Amino acid sequence: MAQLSDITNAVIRAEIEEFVDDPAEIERNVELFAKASAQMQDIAAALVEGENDTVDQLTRTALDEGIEALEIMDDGLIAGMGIVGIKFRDGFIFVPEVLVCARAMKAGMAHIEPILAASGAEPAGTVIMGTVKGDLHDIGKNLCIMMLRGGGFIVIDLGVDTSPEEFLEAVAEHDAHVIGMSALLTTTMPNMAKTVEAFKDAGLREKVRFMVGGAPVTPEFAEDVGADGYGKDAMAAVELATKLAIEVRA
Amino acid sequence: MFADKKAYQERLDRIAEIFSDVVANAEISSLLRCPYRDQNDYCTALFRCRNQLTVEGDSEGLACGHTGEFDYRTAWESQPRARERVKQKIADIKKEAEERRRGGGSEETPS
Repeated sequence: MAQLSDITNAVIRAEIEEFVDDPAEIERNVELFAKASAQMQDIAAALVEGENDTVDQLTRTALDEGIEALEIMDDGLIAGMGIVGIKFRDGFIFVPEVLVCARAMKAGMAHIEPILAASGAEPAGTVIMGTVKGDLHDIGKNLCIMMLRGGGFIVIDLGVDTSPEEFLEAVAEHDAHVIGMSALLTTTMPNMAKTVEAFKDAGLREKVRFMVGGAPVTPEFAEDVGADGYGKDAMAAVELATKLAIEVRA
Repeated sequence: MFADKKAYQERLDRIAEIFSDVVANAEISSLLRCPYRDQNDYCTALFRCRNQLTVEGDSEGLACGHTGEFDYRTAWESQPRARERVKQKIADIKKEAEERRRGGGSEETPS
């Protein structure tokens, strides 16, 4: 049986020691990291610390050195994200920290995705995501993005305060067919309608599908603004995006 | 370098599983603690919130002053009673756009 001391990376050792309480999870993580190379442990440690530049660089280096993408995913990215999930579940870190770690994971996955595509695993689709004009709330959108990426979508994040023109430009640039709009304020919800109308004005409405969400948004409002679907949470957003991506391709 | 599709799909499924757990936990924790509040109790929001506190002598940012005794989301709304007006505004936007397209000769037939 592997011991904590078999793990060479001090950050990983400290993370397990300090934040993993369940004996079964301790054993699983010790076994996992003890067999992982020092390089993979470094990737996992950088991810747990939310250092996206380091994850980016280490993943690229590992691939350049001929390390299998599957090994990088298993022993580096997924192993690191597993620790993040445990820390969040047990209340040691919160949503902002999780999102920083998810961004670090994305930095690593960006190098894996071309290999994934070469294996024949096609992305589920491309989704343009943004919080609408006038609205600066981004947590819900960011959780949706995290889930969509986990669900195999390529996601273009336009951030907050996104104008209809920015949505239009992004669709043209990335050849995307699904647009996700988020609003957290009732006062900015009309900007969802403005965006849908801008696509009609541009003659592009039939080429895309809109999904909307956010705390004040309801299925009725989604219909009012002319959207094609409403997602009540991040998990529903993945299901909806999948359905809309298939629908728009048909 | 190029592993099979099934092996990758298994990894993607594992990632989706970790993220699903995270989102489920986020839903629960957000009922009690603002999701913009970080582990050091700083506010990470890009917008103004009535719970934001300036900490004297601290240049790190704004602290979160939410007590957990009321729904923090009400503090995000600049005009909490605006909801009723929004429905009318959406109808106006759609009407104006349709009129504009009729006048401007858009390629697409208004729905």
